[in-house]
Amino acid sequence: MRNRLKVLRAERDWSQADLADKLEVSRQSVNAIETGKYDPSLPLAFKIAAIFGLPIEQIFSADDVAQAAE
Amino acid sequence: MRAERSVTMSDHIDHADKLAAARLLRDMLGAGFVYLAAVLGAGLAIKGFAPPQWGAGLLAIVPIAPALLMLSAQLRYMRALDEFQRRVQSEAVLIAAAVIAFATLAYGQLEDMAGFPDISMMWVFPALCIVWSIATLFVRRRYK
Repeated sequence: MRNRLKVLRAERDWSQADLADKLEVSRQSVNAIETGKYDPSLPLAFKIAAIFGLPIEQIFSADDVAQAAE
Repeated sequence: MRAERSVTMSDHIDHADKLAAARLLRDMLGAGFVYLAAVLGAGLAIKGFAPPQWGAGLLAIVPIAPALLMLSAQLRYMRALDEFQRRVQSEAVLIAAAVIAFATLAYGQLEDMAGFPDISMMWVFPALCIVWSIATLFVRRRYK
């Protein structure tokens, strides 16, 4: 799964630790999600969407969907 | 320019992870010490009093109580982690279980077929814990 976490975080000038703080997870977790090495659970994905004030599909997309859009 | 970062919740969570790991180590060492004492005590009691087989059997499984404390400490540690850290630990446990399963299977065949010396099954659990710790390092590196 792809995500725009890094871009969205940068737009808000948040560090990984800041986002981890808001999500109540460890910074390593944010890093693993951001680099696409770990796909968050649905509840965590919803929490991420709520924090950025965006629908989930504007943050996360399936690899094949993202490739088709390119 | 960003102001110097104050202590945030994620620091606390990372710190909480470290505290959970430190607590696990402390609980495992404590229970491990009690386990060894129980093994030695049970062994001495069996030798000294020569109880009937059912009595020796009861004494021999006394050390299981502190071993269960170790299991409880490990479960408490897993529950204290966030979902990603729990995934890392779950993968590490799975790898450790697979490694120990195949290692014991292979050594069992060496014992039976090639006359290798018998090793007590009581070493399986400590071996599992050691391989789990090593596997955790490898799994963590994979997610970096």
